[in-house]
Parts: sequence; C-alpha cells; structure tokens
Amino acid sequence: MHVKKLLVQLLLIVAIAAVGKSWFESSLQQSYKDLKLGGAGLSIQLRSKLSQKLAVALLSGFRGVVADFVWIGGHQAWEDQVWYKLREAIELAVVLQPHSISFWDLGSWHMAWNASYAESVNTKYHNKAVREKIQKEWIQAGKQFLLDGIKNNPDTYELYFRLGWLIYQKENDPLGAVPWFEKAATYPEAPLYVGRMIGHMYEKAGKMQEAYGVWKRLWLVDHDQYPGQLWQKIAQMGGQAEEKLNIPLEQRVFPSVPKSVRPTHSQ
Amino acid sequence: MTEVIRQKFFYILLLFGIVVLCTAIYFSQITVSTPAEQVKFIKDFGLAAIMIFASLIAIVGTAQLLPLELDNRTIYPILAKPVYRAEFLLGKFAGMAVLLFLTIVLMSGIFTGVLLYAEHYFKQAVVADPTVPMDATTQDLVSMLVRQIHDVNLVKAVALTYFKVVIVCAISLLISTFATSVIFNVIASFMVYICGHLESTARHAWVGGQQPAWTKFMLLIITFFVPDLNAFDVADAVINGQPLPMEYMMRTIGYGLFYATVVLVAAYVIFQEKEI
Repeated sequence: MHVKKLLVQLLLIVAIAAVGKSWFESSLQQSYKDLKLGGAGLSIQLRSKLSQKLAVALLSGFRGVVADFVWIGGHQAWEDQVWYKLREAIELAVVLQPHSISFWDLGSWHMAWNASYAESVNTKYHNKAVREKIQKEWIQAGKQFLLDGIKNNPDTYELYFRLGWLIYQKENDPLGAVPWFEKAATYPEAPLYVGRMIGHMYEKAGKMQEAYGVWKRLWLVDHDQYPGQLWQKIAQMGGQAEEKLNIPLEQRVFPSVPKSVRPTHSQ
Repeated sequence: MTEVIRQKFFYILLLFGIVVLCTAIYFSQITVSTPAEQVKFIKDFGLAAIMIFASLIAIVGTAQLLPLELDNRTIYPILAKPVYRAEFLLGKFAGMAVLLFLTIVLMSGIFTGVLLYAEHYFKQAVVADPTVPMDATTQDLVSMLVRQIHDVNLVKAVALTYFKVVIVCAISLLISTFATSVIFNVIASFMVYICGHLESTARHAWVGGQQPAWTKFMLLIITFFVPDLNAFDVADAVINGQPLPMEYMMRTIGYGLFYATVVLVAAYVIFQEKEI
C-alpha cells in the first residue's frame, strides 16, 4: 500500500515538474539563443580535436577554461612556429568561445602577420613565387577569419576595425579598407581615431576630395562634445587638403595651422 | 551546516579552491602573453574554480548528511521530538545552502583580491617599463584593463553559480534519501551534474532527431528529469562583455528555485516513507 501511495505521489511530482520545467526551459532557451550565450555543443568533430581531459572539462561546464587551454596550445605553436597547429588551435578556440573578441582579433593577427611573414622568409621554399603564394594564403586566411568573427560578433566595432587595418596593411588597399573603418566608426564605443582613419585611407589612396570630405565632416561638429578629439591634427590634415585641392579662400573651413604645431599624442 | 564544517573534506576542498584561485595570476603570466588575455584567463580560471569547488562541496557535503545522521544514530532523538521529517530535511538543505553561500562569498572575496592584485601588477608593469610611453594608446589599454577587472557583471555569473550548486545540493539530498552508500550518492550526483550540461543537447535531439525508440526514451528521461545546468553558465558571456539582462537572471533563478523545490518535495515524499 505504501509503495503504491509513494509511486502515485512521485508520479504526480514528476508530472508537475515536467510541465513547469518545460515552461521555464522553453523561455530560457529562447533567451539563451537571443543573447548568443554559449558556443558550439560537444560534437564528434569537436571531441576528436580535444584531448580526453579537455572533453571531460567541457562536459562539466568549463568551456572558458577549455578554450583558454586550447589557446595556450596555440600560443606554444606560435613560439615553435608550427603554423598549421596554431591555426587548428585558434579555430578550435573560437568554436568554443565564438564571442571572445580577443580570440578573433589575435587569431587573425597570428595568421595574417606572424604566419604570413614567417612563410615569406622561409628558406624551405627556394622559389620566391611559392613563398609569396603561401604568404598570400595566410593573409587570406586571416582575412576570412576576421569575416567569420564579424558574422559571430556583428555588434562590436573592434573586428571591423581590425579587418580594415588588415586590408590596408597586408593587402596594401587603403580604399578597400574604407568601408570597414566606416562601419567601425558607426559604433558609439569606437575610439575617435577610427573616424580619422577613414580620412587617412582616402589620402593614402590619393582620393583627396573624399579625404577632404571626411576632415570637414569631423571638423564641423560641436568640438566640446568630443574633448578627446585631436582637433589640431584634423585642422592640419584638412588645411593641407584645402591647399592641395585649391579650395577658394572664402570656402575654406580650416584655420591655417603653423607647421610647428604638431600633435604630441594620438588617441 | 555544522556537520559539514566539522568534516575534513570541507577544509581540504576550500583550501584547494583558494590555492587554485590564488595561482590563477601565476598561470596567466606563464601561459598567455597580452594583459587582456591574462585578465581573461584569470577570470575564466577564477570563475571555474569557484564553480568546481562549490559543486564538489555541495555534492560531497550533502551526500553525507543523512547517512551520517543514521550511522551516528543522531537522527533518532531528533525525530523522537515533535519535529516533522519535512522540517528535518529542509533544515539540512537550508544549512547546506547557507554554507555554500558563505563558501562562494569567501571564494569570491579571494577572487576579487586576485583581480585587484592583477590590476595593481599591470599598472606597475606599465609605469616601470621605460619602453612603453604613457600616451593615449597606453592609457586606453590601461583603462580597458581596469574596466575588465572592475566588471560588476561578474557578480551575476557568481550569483547564477550559487543557484546552480543549490540545485546540485537538492539533487544530492534527494539521492541520499534512498541511496545505500555515500559513494553511490556522490557518483550519481556527479553524473546528474554532467548530464545537466548536456540536457539542452538531449532536448534538441529528442525534439528534432530521428533516433531509434530506445535512444528517444533515454533522451526523454534526461530531458524530463535532469536540470538544464547550461542555463546557469553565463561566465563566458560576462567575461566577453556580452550584455546579461536582469530579466534573464531572474528567469534563471526562478527556474533554479522551482527545480530545487520540486526535488525537495520528492525527497520529502521518499523520506517520509523511509523506515528509520
């Protein structure tokens, strides 16, 4: 009799629990998804890339620590200059923590700068064309990595800025970098130098009219709203652009700045 | 609570937790290069240490509560008094919940100390390095590190860790009402803890997958009985600076309290029928 009573009571509890649990979990699941919490779940592919210890740690909810140790493995590969291992570790780290900006940022830097440079001077390849090809492949890998990072983290300026910087520095394409700097500058938390970078890129590309437009846009705002802005630098760049473009004196907006005045620091 | 405090394992686990927390800064320095990475590592490592040691104390401490009372025969004079079994069980749970709270507060305090030491260390390193100019870029970096260290959202991650271990504690108490040995309870609780991190995966597979009937049945059991402990894992999001609305916090805490209550009711029902 007691056993029967116990079973009925337990079944009742299970039924109540199932209803309540489902209700809570369905709403939590939606929020979890909307807030982009967590990372990739443990799959066979992921398991095959992790050691047994790290897989158990991942199962126990230590995703962050596992990602850090994978990243440290990548750091070791960088020191040893084993680039394929480095790439594997970086790619695994971002699978585990797709919202860690520093993983995407530093990972692309490792590929596009460190690996690409190391391979460009690698004496293992006697043919210069081969070295250049491999160097370009690493730069492309770094670029693609940043594009993937942007897909995962579209709401922060850093990766747009890094991509613009990569295109300018490694592909020597300042005009190609402009859209990415422009996108980065739209974020309120972006530092003021991001906006100035657009003007510099136009100048590097020889597009003085566009560069002048940028300097004017930056200049013609309430200066008190941006106390950290390098107004002298903008005035200097804008003044130089007016000179080069032969803008009529009455249409000029920048004060003439003595050449001796140079900004002492940059933000 | 006092029974657990008298146990040696409690001090050993607490000591290990404190040592691990304090060594986070050392590990970060020898393994990762940039200050931003080091701060991330310290936070990952620190929050993980709080979670693992609080969970271990919850599992091992709670698993011993009832068997200890039965072995020492201290349960008989208590239940001979006008004390309901529900009160007895609730008292055990409440004591453990308070102990876990104090443990987490202590470890969080040490974690805060480690983070503040890291901040001091980084600032000193910047000042002492003559090759680093104290320009706006360096100041930006320092202020970014300070922002990362003084992140109040870490409290949210610690708070949800507390509710996670409270669930684990309730499950361990439930198992101890019918388990025949402490070791069985510890292993079973640990298995539930691991399954709890796979619950959401099991739920997805159960809802959408084309599995054989037997697999579906096993997934159903996990989905219905095991709590979704992943919902409490917000450390990654907090460390990466993702927003964590209070609404999500409240809903997750509500879920934790609901689950713990249901488990405690089940524990009471079994304990009520138990012949002592």
